[in-house]
Amino acid sequence: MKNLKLKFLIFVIFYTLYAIRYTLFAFAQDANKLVALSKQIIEAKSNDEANPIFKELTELYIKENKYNDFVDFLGSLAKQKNTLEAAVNYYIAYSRYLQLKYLEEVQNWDEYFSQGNNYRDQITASLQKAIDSTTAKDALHINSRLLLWQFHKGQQDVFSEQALSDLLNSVLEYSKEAKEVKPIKEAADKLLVYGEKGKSKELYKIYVSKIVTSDIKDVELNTIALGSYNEGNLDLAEEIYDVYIERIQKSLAKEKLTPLLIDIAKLFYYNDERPSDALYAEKIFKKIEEVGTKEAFDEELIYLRAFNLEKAKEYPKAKDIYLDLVQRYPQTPHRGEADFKEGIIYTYILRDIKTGKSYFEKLALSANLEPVEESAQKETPSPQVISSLYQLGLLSQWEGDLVKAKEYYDKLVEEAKDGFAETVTKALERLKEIQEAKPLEYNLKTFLDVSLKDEYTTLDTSKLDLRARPYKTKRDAEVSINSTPYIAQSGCLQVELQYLWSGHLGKVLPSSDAPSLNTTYMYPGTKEINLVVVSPTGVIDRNIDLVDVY
Amino acid sequence: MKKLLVVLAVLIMTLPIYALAQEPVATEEPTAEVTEKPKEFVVYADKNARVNHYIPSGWMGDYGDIKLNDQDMQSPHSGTTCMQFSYSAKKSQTQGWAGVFWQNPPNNWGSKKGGFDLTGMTKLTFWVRGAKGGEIIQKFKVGGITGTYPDTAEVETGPVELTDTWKQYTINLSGKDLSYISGGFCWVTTADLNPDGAIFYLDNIKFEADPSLKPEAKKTESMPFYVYADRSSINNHFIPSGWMGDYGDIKYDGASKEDPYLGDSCIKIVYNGQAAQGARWAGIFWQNPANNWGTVDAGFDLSKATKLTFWARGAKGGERIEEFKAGGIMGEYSDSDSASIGPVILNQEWTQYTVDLKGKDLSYIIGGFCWATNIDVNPEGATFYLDEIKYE
Amino acid sequence: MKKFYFGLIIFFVFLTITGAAPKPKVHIKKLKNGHYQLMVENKPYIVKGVCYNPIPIGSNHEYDWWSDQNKPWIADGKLMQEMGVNTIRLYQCHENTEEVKQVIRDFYELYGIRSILGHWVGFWEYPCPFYGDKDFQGKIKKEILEMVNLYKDEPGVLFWTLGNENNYSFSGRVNAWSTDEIDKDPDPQKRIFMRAKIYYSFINDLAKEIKKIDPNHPVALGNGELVGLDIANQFSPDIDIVASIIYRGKTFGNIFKSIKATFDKPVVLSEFGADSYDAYKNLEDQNMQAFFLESQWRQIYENLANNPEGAGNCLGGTLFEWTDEWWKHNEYDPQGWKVHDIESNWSNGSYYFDIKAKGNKNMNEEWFGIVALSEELENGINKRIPRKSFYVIREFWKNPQLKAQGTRHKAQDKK
Repeated sequence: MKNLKLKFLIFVIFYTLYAIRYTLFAFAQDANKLVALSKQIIEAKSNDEANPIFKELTELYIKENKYNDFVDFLGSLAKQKNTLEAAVNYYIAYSRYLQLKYLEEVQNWDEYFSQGNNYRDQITASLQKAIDSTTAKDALHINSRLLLWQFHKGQQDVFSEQALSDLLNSVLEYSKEAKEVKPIKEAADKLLVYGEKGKSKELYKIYVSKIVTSDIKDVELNTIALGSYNEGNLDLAEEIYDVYIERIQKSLAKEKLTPLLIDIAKLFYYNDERPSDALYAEKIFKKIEEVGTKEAFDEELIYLRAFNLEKAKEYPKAKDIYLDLVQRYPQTPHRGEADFKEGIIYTYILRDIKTGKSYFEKLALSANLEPVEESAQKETPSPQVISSLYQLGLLSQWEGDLVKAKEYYDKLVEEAKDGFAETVTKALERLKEIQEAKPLEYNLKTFLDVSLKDEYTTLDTSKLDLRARPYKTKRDAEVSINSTPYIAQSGCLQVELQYLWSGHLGKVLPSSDAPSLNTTYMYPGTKEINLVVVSPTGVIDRNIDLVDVY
Repeated sequence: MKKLLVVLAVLIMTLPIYALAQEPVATEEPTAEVTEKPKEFVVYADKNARVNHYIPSGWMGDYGDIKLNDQDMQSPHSGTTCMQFSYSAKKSQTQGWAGVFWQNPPNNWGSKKGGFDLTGMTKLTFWVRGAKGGEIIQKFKVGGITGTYPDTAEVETGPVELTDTWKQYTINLSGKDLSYISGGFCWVTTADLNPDGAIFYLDNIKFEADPSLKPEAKKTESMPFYVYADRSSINNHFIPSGWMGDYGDIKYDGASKEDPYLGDSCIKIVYNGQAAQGARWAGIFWQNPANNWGTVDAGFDLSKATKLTFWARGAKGGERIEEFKAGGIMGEYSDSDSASIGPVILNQEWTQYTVDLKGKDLSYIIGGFCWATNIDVNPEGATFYLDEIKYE
Repeated sequence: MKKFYFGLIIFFVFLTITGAAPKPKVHIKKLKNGHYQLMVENKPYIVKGVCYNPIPIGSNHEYDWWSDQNKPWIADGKLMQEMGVNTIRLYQCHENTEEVKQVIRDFYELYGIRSILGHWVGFWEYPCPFYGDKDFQGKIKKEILEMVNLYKDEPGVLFWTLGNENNYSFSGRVNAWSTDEIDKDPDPQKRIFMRAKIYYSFINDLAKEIKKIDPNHPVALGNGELVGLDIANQFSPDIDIVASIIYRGKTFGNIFKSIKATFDKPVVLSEFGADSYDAYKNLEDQNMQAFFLESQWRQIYENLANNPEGAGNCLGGTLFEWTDEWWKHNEYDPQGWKVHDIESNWSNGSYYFDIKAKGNKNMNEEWFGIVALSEELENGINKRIPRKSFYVIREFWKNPQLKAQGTRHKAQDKK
């Protein structure tokens, strides 16, 4: 027993020592870092050298919210080396700026108000000193003007306009001679964040032109473009990529060029998880076609291109690429999806019910043939097969051919067996309607009428935007679907709109005043979501969206 | 044992602490270059001109009433062709108004990303003439597309009465955010303003960068300033767009021929008191621009007015309107003041009413006129007429 | 002896020449330029006030805070003093006279804060206020004069306020009342006029009676918006102050010039403010409340005496309100009094930040305080947590800048 106690005691002692050491280590590390950094700053030969050290020091202090300490430290630094004065002034202002933000965030109104005026005065005074002691050739000058403008903009006072034009003028001055482009980009980034889109675009143009006319290597250009993309600034990334592509087109051979273009396309094509620009991706795809011919596209790439166009709502083009995919790679695992989507696009977008049906037929028939996939159970058809049987039944029912419709629905139920419960349920509902001689469900019927009847040919889905998030999802994951109808000027205060949802909507049954819905899908397949928006004066438009569930 | 403990303790307490290394930042060596700013951005110069942008694809309202000939060669303003629009005013889609939006890409009502960045442009100019003269276009507009990718600005001018000779008009865009404009140009007109339809021609529509142009300041309107004179009067201001309470209970006719007080038409309002929205009251606010509940900085400076007068009569007599009001809209941009009279019991004969505005600050008025009533005082509803609503 | 009488005569002559009758302790001074000032002991006084009703979490308006052993007003007074508040508004005094006097004294003696004492003028009497009935009037008059008699000698009293938004009853909107004579008239506008005449005449009568027993304090007329003031002009000339209740968001619009033109009396904004809950984003927004309150106080100061750009008839205001009241959303539901309800029952477009809330219902009654209440207790009462508005107004009062930061005025030298 005594031994155990002793061992336990030893353990506790060591644990405490370890903890102490760790904290001291951290402190010491920081303190040591501080000492080391201060030394480095004093020894720095130029502002450019000192700058990154300043940045690190700032981070060190800021992460502990030790603003007052930092300002004191900076003050002492300036005393030791007065060539650092401009930078010190800038960082004092920066520290106070962050401090005010921090106080507001934690709602420490006491300090915010009792010290607020002092801090604000310190910001403007220090920045002015930094500005006065530098010229437009210095990055510090630009950064100071930028911070000053941000400050005034935040205060919403009368000085912000003047500060903005001072900033722009000094950036223009700076850009004439300076080598370092980072300040220009930083200024442009901040302007964008604050909503000065026009002005930020101007600065980005300068930034890009400077990069472009320099002797920068192509590879570096790519890196910068990628960096912008990663920051979420797709517009800037695209501009730089445009230049990059122009260059590599001239210098590289087809074989080397194509993979690079494919990489870029893969950055921008539609993807649920990250920002994308489907139109730009298509632009790159077109280029790949021009440059590398069609052979450059392997199966996956063609599919990506088709999917990208589909999500960009360029349905006719998407349909063409899906057709291309199936033609070139008839064994593709995306076959079912491609054929089904072709059917949907022909029927509901292009109003070509005959051609659409033919694609659904093709799919439905494939249920009788050998399975495309090497699945152990031959009996399980692909989800799109079931969905096309449903579409065929639906279209027949709408056209009035109830016998054919019943045939399709019956086949569906037979093929589905125990799976595809959602579609089976719908098929059963339709069968019930046929049996009881009832008309098609109202929302569904309206959607089919508007999509297919001649009297609605003027409606081309452009007046209703329908988007789902995400477009490719797992079972039982949340999908949110939003609609944006176009409403022309009207005399009423609130145009009362009705949202007629139909199709495969997952678990949720939305009401007619819901412009959006959140749902989950329990079964795999390509789910079609139909929406018709009706106003008191008539149908505004309809649209269809497709979600792929795996 | 003790020695071991001591050694271990010492080891634990003394572990090296080192600072970090630095990494220099790569510098670049670019040379400066300033790109030249374009002086104009053409919407339409001639048919198929390479400088053309936007397509007149967005047909609105009674689109069946519109015909377009985009290569009329009879007498263009310049070049070989101009655009001819024919508006029949037949109300083919029962709307009573029609218009065309120039869009990019075609048919983009805000669901596609197709706007141009027109930063730097300060005005849109265009030439227009009527086939006969006297045609009235309710408004010409730049921007205003909403939706997933909305325009950054919306500026309009009008109404415009055309002559049979070419005249140039300008929409001042100075100070506006033009960084994303997908609806480059638009015209709208109504059957009321053109009962027999209208044929007119447009040419040379373009954005121009005129640095000397300054943003338009609000001018003090001269009196009398009409809210409603006649259905086709070019002097009408404010739009009866703000329907409140049981808006389903209201029927509004701005072109009633039933014994107008003056001119050929008057306003007829039928309030059926059915509580369609369950509010048990209803009213209409005349606003500038339409549907502005204080969210848009607009309105008129009516500070020269000393009173608001209007004529009203009830279909049967005895209809009770709880309030007639001028101003009073409150929002981010509020009316500078408000004045009202009521409740008013209408007579069967036309009677003039006056809202006294002395001492009121009318420098900023979005809500030009308003009436409101409820079911309790009109259990069987109320049908009444209004005419000659004006500030003077 | 002769010398004595001679001296006396000189003394009285001196008195009459200088008209040195002592001025009432609190009175309205009209300046040569037509502007008004509130004078307290011969010094100009700006009403920097708050509406005070410290109902704790878990109770409703029936709670008797005056008898609360924990004396919430001690903690509140201290906080108010730190902020710079110099006046509180009490809607109606409690029955226990000694307790009321204690509260008034504590505020005044400990913190230098004065009290505006109000009376509902029977507005909430069941079934309705029979202003047209002489007996009813008599009963109310008795109550009011009793109140005046009891407290007129308290040094902490600033002035009396009669009624709150009682004028909304003229059109029948709230607490409708009438008389046979009125009901006979077919013209609804005339009916409104008749009610207004009765009410404002009654108020005038009360004002005169009050001043007979208490010449040292002005009498204010509580009025919702400017409704009826043109009639008050005719029938309540003996009123000293108009105490308006205005909720118009960022600014008060044109009310100061309007009141000057309609009923030329000095104005106290006796209720105004903003709530601190964003009904659209569904979260507390202290910045929004601070924005509105600062803007409102700026306009009050713009219209104080001797500012040539203002109407010069404003005496200050008592903002609504000091602390949140958690019972307001549903006064009959005791469970709800413990909850800081975020629902709203009414809409006001001028508080535009959250007007996009469902049904446009953006006014959150339980969130109007510039001091929030915590469920945690401190010295027996809910802990007071000042919101941003508290500090913003404190700073404003220290240094009232009349021009908003965003407005255009001659650019000062920046260099």
